[in-house]
Amino acid sequence: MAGSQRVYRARIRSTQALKKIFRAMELIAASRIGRARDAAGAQAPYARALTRAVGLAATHAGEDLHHPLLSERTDTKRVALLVLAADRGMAGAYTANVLREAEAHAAKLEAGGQEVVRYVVGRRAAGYYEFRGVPLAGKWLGVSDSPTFATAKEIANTLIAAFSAPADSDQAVGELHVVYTHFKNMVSQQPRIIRMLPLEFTDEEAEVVPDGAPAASGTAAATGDAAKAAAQAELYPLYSFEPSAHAVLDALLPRYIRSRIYDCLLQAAASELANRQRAMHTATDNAEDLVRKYTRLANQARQADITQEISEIVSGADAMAAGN
Amino acid sequence: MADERLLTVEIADWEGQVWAGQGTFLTAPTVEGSVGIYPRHEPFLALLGNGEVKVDLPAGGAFRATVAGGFFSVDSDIVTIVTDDATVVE
Repeated sequence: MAGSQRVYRARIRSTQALKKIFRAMELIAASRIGRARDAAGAQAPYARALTRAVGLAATHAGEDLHHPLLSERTDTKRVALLVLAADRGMAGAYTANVLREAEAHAAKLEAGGQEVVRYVVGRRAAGYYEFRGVPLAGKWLGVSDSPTFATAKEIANTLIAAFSAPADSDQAVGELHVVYTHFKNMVSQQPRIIRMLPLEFTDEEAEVVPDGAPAASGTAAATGDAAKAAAQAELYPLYSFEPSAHAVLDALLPRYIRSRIYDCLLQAAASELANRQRAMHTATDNAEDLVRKYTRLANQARQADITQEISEIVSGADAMAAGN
Repeated sequence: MADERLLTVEIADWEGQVWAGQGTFLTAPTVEGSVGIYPRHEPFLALLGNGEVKVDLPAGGAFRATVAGGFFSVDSDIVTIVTDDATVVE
């Protein structure tokens, strides 16, 4: 019976080694969440100023506001779907949740007669689609838990190019939807779908703007309601633009998209890390449970061995005594 | 001068706030040439070119930073410079 003791001891050792790895991954994830959240916080002044400036320029551009990024495209039925998932597993159901949400949305779009073009961030999502033979128009790997602005820029440029491509080119898309995981707080993250292109200023986005007036005018300007926009414009001081309101808007809108995509990437990264931290915490707990269970079994096996040895000795002695 | 108004300047790039402070005068490169801003400037929104932003500090001396693209706005003596990449010149 000494064999089973050895087996239990070996299992305890390997489980303890795994536990250490889980604990380390939990701590790494925890420290990186802080970094991702700091990056999101650091980007806030940039994003706020940008949102306000876009609102301003849009209002002053006034009646002839026809920017390509603001107008609906009717010449193509293709919709770009950008899916932000993880590069690695060990984050619980994080990637599965995002993919489920993305596919439900894609099914809805396809039911509406649109063609979905998928772009993904993260190896897990890329692997999921490639295994199923779903073509990907673009993928960015190895950046999901520490996104940089350079990546956001590259993604934004690719998607803006697709959105501005002529209808007969094979990459043209008429809309851009983003599926990412919104980081509400450490315990709650939710997959979310937003339509990023063509741009529309919803109230939620406008909340980024410090005071209420620009938010309202942003909505008016973006919906192309010229009369309303003109009325709202009076709430702004009269700005002068250099070179012109249109040129400013031209330069700012791609930056705005970039900044929004960067924000989505950071939120997704923080969510991924929070999920990983939680998953690794659970794994550590489970490893502890296993160690306890195996220790108990090992003790039992040892006790059984001892009992057996004693009874063998006693019965041996008895046999000898009976023989005499 | 009786005029004690100062510019409140904030310079940010996507990595966060680079500098914030007050100044008496500011020059910035726009896409169409350099502009200078004194307090009480009219509301103004311009695209930045590449070059150097210089803020004259109330205590004398100046703060300098090189910027690369972006925009800056002036409103009620508040100057917000948002650039793609800012480097403080020591």
